[in-house]
Amino acid sequence: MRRGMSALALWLLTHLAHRNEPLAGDLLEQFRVSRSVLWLWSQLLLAIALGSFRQSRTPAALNLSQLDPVVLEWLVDRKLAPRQVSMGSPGQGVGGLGMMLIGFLLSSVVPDVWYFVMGGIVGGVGLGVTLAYLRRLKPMATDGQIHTGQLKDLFA
Amino acid sequence: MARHLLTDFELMILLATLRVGDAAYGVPIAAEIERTGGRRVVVAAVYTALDRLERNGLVTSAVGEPTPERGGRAKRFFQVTPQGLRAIKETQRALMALWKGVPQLKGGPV
Repeated sequence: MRRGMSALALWLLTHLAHRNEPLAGDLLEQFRVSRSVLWLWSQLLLAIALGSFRQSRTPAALNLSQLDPVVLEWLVDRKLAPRQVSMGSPGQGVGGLGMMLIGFLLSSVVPDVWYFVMGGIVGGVGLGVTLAYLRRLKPMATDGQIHTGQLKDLFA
Repeated sequence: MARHLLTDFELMILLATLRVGDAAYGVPIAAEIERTGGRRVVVAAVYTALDRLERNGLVTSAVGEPTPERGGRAKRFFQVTPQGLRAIKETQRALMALWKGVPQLKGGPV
Protein backbone atom coordinates (compact mmCIF):
# COMPACT_ATOMS: atom_id res chain seq x y z
CA MET A 1 0.00 0.00 0.00
CA ARG A 2 2.79 2.37 1.02
CA ARG A 3 4.69 1.48 -2.15
CA GLY A 4 1.57 2.10 -4.24
CA MET A 5 0.94 5.44 -2.57
CA SER A 6 4.47 6.62 -3.14
CA ALA A 7 4.40 5.37 -6.76
CA LEU A 8 1.19 7.31 -7.38
CA ALA A 9 2.59 10.44 -5.74
CA LEU A 10 5.80 10.19 -7.77
CA TRP A 11 3.83 9.61 -10.97
CA LEU A 12 1.75 12.72 -10.24
CA LEU A 13 4.86 14.72 -9.40
CA THR A 14 6.58 13.61 -12.61
CA HIS A 15 3.59 14.64 -14.70
CA LEU A 16 3.32 18.04 -13.01
CA ALA A 17 7.07 18.65 -12.88
CA HIS A 18 7.40 20.46 -16.21
CA ARG A 19 5.14 23.22 -14.86
CA ASN A 20 7.46 24.01 -11.93
CA GLU A 21 10.75 22.12 -12.23
CA PRO A 22 12.55 23.61 -9.20
CA LEU A 23 9.65 22.87 -6.83
CA ALA A 24 9.22 19.32 -8.18
CA GLY A 25 12.97 18.77 -7.81
CA ASP A 26 12.92 20.05 -4.22
CA LEU A 27 10.06 17.74 -3.25
CA LEU A 28 11.73 14.78 -4.91
CA GLU A 29 15.09 15.53 -3.29
CA GLN A 30 13.61 15.84 0.19
CA PHE A 31 11.46 12.72 -0.23
CA ARG A 32 14.45 10.65 -1.33
CA VAL A 33 16.62 11.88 1.54
CA SER A 34 14.42 11.81 4.61
CA ARG A 35 10.71 12.44 4.18
CA SER A 36 7.69 10.12 4.42
CA VAL A 37 5.03 9.30 1.84
CA LEU A 38 2.54 11.25 3.94
CA TRP A 39 4.84 14.29 3.80
CA LEU A 40 5.12 13.99 0.01
CA TRP A 41 1.35 13.74 -0.44
CA SER A 42 0.66 16.69 1.86
CA GLN A 43 3.27 18.86 0.09
CA LEU A 44 2.02 17.80 -3.33
CA LEU A 45 -1.65 18.47 -2.60
CA LEU A 46 -0.87 21.81 -0.94
CA ALA A 47 1.29 22.80 -3.92
CA ILE A 48 -1.59 22.00 -6.29
CA ALA A 49 -4.01 23.92 -4.04
CA LEU A 50 -1.66 26.93 -3.98
CA GLY A 51 -1.51 26.89 -7.79
CA SER A 52 2.23 26.19 -7.87
CA PHE A 53 1.82 23.75 -10.76
CA ARG A 54 -0.41 25.99 -12.84
CA GLN A 55 0.99 26.41 -16.33
CA SER A 56 0.25 30.10 -16.57
CA ARG A 57 -1.27 32.79 -14.39
CA THR A 58 -3.52 33.80 -17.29
CA PRO A 59 -5.97 31.29 -18.76
CA ALA A 60 -4.88 30.34 -22.29
CA ALA A 61 -8.15 31.46 -23.84
CA LEU A 62 -7.71 34.96 -22.39
CA ASN A 63 -3.99 35.32 -22.97
CA LEU A 64 -4.05 37.59 -26.03
CA SER A 65 -0.29 38.04 -25.93
CA GLN A 66 0.11 34.42 -27.08
CA LEU A 67 -2.12 34.91 -30.12
CA ASP A 68 -0.70 35.12 -33.56
CA PRO A 69 -0.15 38.84 -34.38
CA VAL A 70 -2.20 38.54 -37.57
CA VAL A 71 -5.13 37.02 -35.68
CA LEU A 72 -4.78 39.65 -32.94
CA GLU A 73 -4.85 42.44 -35.52
CA TRP A 74 -7.94 40.91 -37.10
CA LEU A 75 -9.64 40.77 -33.70
CA VAL A 76 -8.79 44.40 -32.95
CA ASP A 77 -9.96 45.50 -36.39
CA ARG A 78 -13.21 43.68 -35.88
CA LYS A 79 -13.54 45.30 -32.44
CA LEU A 80 -13.83 41.86 -30.91
CA ALA A 81 -10.99 42.36 -28.46
CA PRO A 82 -12.12 42.30 -24.82
CA ARG A 83 -12.94 45.67 -23.29
CA GLN A 84 -12.98 46.60 -19.63
CA VAL A 85 -16.57 47.13 -18.55
CA SER A 86 -17.26 48.11 -14.97
CA MET A 87 -20.78 47.29 -13.85
CA GLY A 88 -20.21 47.21 -10.12
CA SER A 89 -18.89 43.66 -10.03
CA PRO A 90 -18.28 42.70 -6.37
CA GLY A 91 -14.73 41.62 -7.06
CA GLN A 92 -12.11 42.09 -9.74
CA GLY A 93 -12.05 39.06 -12.00
CA VAL A 94 -15.53 37.87 -11.06
CA GLY A 95 -17.18 37.33 -14.40
CA GLY A 96 -20.42 35.72 -15.48
CA LEU A 97 -19.43 32.19 -14.48
CA GLY A 98 -18.11 33.45 -11.14
CA MET A 99 -21.40 35.23 -10.47
CA MET A 100 -23.33 32.06 -11.35
CA LEU A 101 -21.15 30.07 -8.96
CA ILE A 102 -21.75 32.61 -6.19
CA GLY A 103 -25.47 32.39 -6.95
CA PHE A 104 -25.37 28.60 -6.78
CA LEU A 105 -23.48 28.62 -3.47
CA LEU A 106 -25.83 31.22 -1.99
CA SER A 107 -28.84 29.20 -3.14
CA SER A 108 -27.49 26.04 -1.55
CA VAL A 109 -27.19 27.83 1.81
CA VAL A 110 -30.39 29.90 1.64
CA PRO A 111 -32.77 28.31 -0.92
CA ASP A 112 -35.14 31.30 -0.95
CA VAL A 113 -32.38 33.48 -2.39
CA TRP A 114 -32.74 31.60 -5.67
CA TYR A 115 -35.62 33.87 -6.82
CA PHE A 116 -33.44 36.95 -6.37
CA VAL A 117 -30.51 35.25 -8.10
CA MET A 118 -32.69 34.24 -11.06
CA GLY A 119 -34.15 37.76 -11.21
CA GLY A 120 -30.62 39.19 -11.21
CA ILE A 121 -29.46 36.86 -13.99
CA VAL A 122 -32.48 37.59 -16.20
CA GLY A 123 -32.18 41.32 -15.51
CA GLY A 124 -28.43 41.26 -16.20
CA VAL A 125 -28.83 39.41 -19.48
CA GLY A 126 -31.64 41.77 -20.50
CA LEU A 127 -29.56 44.84 -19.67
CA GLY A 128 -26.54 43.39 -21.46
CA VAL A 129 -28.49 42.64 -24.63
CA THR A 130 -30.10 46.10 -24.61
CA LEU A 131 -26.75 47.82 -24.07
CA ALA A 132 -25.19 45.77 -26.85
CA TYR A 133 -28.03 46.86 -29.14
CA LEU A 134 -27.61 50.50 -28.12
CA ARG A 135 -23.88 50.26 -28.70
CA ARG A 136 -24.53 49.35 -32.30
CA LEU A 137 -26.56 52.51 -32.64
CA LYS A 138 -24.27 54.82 -30.63
CA PRO A 139 -20.58 54.17 -29.81
CA MET A 140 -19.77 53.51 -26.15
CA ALA A 141 -17.66 55.98 -24.14
CA THR A 142 -13.99 55.46 -24.88
CA ASP A 143 -13.11 54.47 -21.29
CA GLY A 144 -15.41 51.45 -21.47
CA GLN A 145 -17.58 52.64 -18.56
CA ILE A 146 -21.34 52.78 -18.83
CA HIS A 147 -22.43 56.37 -18.26
CA THR A 148 -25.69 57.70 -16.90
CA GLY A 149 -26.45 59.36 -20.22
CA GLN A 150 -26.49 56.00 -21.93
CA LEU A 151 -28.79 54.59 -19.26
CA LYS A 152 -31.10 57.60 -19.70
CA ASP A 153 -31.20 56.86 -23.43
CA LEU A 154 -32.05 53.30 -22.57
CA PHE A 155 -35.08 54.16 -20.49
CA ALA A 156 -36.22 57.22 -22.49
CA MET B 1 10.59 55.36 -2.24
CA ALA B 2 7.69 53.76 -0.36
CA ARG B 3 8.56 51.68 2.70
CA HIS B 4 8.14 47.95 2.29
CA LEU B 5 7.25 46.19 5.54
CA LEU B 6 7.46 42.43 5.33
CA THR B 7 5.06 39.81 6.65
CA ASP B 8 6.47 37.40 9.23
CA PHE B 9 6.82 34.63 6.64
CA GLU B 10 8.52 36.91 4.11
CA LEU B 11 10.89 38.12 6.82
CA MET B 12 11.74 34.53 7.81
CA ILE B 13 12.35 33.57 4.18
CA LEU B 14 14.65 36.52 3.54
CA LEU B 15 16.59 35.88 6.75
CA ALA B 16 16.86 32.15 5.98
CA THR B 17 18.07 32.98 2.46
CA LEU B 18 20.79 35.22 3.91
CA ARG B 19 21.78 32.57 6.48
CA VAL B 20 22.05 29.81 3.87
CA GLY B 21 24.14 32.02 1.58
CA ASP B 22 25.13 31.14 -1.98
CA ALA B 23 23.45 27.71 -1.95
CA ALA B 24 20.01 29.12 -1.10
CA TYR B 25 17.34 27.17 -2.93
CA GLY B 26 13.97 25.79 -1.78
CA VAL B 27 15.17 22.85 0.34
CA PRO B 28 17.77 24.58 2.55
CA ILE B 29 15.61 27.70 2.91
CA ALA B 30 12.65 25.62 4.11
CA ALA B 31 14.94 23.55 6.37
CA GLU B 32 16.45 26.69 7.93
CA ILE B 33 12.98 28.08 8.71
CA GLU B 34 11.91 24.73 10.21
CA ARG B 35 15.10 24.50 12.29
CA THR B 36 15.19 28.05 13.63
CA GLY B 37 11.50 28.94 13.58
CA GLY B 38 10.23 25.61 14.86
CA ARG B 39 7.41 25.53 12.36
CA ARG B 40 6.46 23.12 9.61
CA VAL B 41 6.96 24.65 6.19
CA VAL B 42 5.10 23.98 2.95
CA VAL B 43 7.74 24.13 0.22
CA ALA B 44 5.22 25.46 -2.33
CA ALA B 45 4.39 28.33 0.06
CA VAL B 46 8.09 29.20 0.19
CA TYR B 47 8.14 29.41 -3.61
CA THR B 48 4.93 31.47 -3.69
CA ALA B 49 6.46 33.96 -1.24
CA LEU B 50 9.79 33.98 -3.10
CA ASP B 51 7.99 34.66 -6.40
CA ARG B 52 6.23 37.61 -4.78
CA LEU B 53 9.51 38.88 -3.28
CA GLU B 54 11.17 38.59 -6.69
CA ARG B 55 8.35 40.54 -8.34
CA ASN B 56 8.90 43.26 -5.71
CA GLY B 57 12.63 43.26 -6.41
CA LEU B 58 13.63 41.98 -2.96
CA VAL B 59 15.28 38.78 -4.25
CA THR B 60 16.71 37.59 -7.55
CA SER B 61 16.83 34.00 -8.77
CA ALA B 62 18.93 31.94 -11.14
CA VAL B 63 18.40 28.38 -12.35
CA GLY B 64 21.31 25.99 -11.74
CA GLU B 65 22.34 22.74 -13.37
CA PRO B 66 20.05 19.66 -13.24
CA THR B 67 21.17 17.02 -10.72
CA PRO B 68 20.43 13.25 -10.65
CA GLU B 69 19.18 13.15 -7.02
CA ARG B 70 16.44 15.52 -8.09
CA GLY B 71 15.40 13.37 -11.04
CA GLY B 72 17.33 15.58 -13.45
CA ARG B 73 15.60 18.76 -12.33
CA ALA B 74 17.45 22.01 -11.82
CA LYS B 75 17.64 24.01 -8.61
CA ARG B 76 16.52 27.64 -8.47
CA PHE B 77 18.94 29.67 -6.39
CA PHE B 78 17.84 32.84 -4.64
CA GLN B 79 19.78 35.89 -3.54
CA VAL B 80 18.60 38.85 -1.46
CA THR B 81 18.96 42.19 -3.25
CA PRO B 82 20.06 45.48 -1.62
CA GLN B 83 16.37 46.48 -1.72
CA GLY B 84 15.56 43.26 0.15
CA LEU B 85 18.16 44.07 2.80
CA ARG B 86 16.62 47.52 3.21
CA ALA B 87 13.16 45.96 3.63
CA ILE B 88 14.51 43.63 6.35
CA LYS B 89 16.04 46.55 8.24
CA GLU B 90 12.90 48.67 7.91
CA THR B 91 10.75 45.82 9.19
CA GLN B 92 13.17 45.26 12.09
CA ARG B 93 13.03 48.98 12.95
CA ALA B 94 9.21 48.97 12.88
CA LEU B 95 9.06 45.87 15.09
CA MET B 96 11.59 47.28 17.55
CA ALA B 97 9.58 50.52 17.75
CA LEU B 98 6.50 48.48 18.64
CA TRP B 99 8.51 46.48 21.18
CA LYS B 100 9.68 49.51 23.12
CA GLY B 101 7.61 50.60 26.08
CA VAL B 102 5.57 47.41 26.40
CA PRO B 103 5.89 46.49 30.11
CA GLN B 104 4.82 42.86 29.59
CA LEU B 105 7.84 42.28 27.35
CA LYS B 106 10.48 43.58 29.76
CA GLY B 107 12.94 41.18 31.38
CA GLY B 108 13.95 38.92 28.52
CA PRO B 109 12.30 35.87 27.00
CA VAL B 110 9.55 34.04 28.96
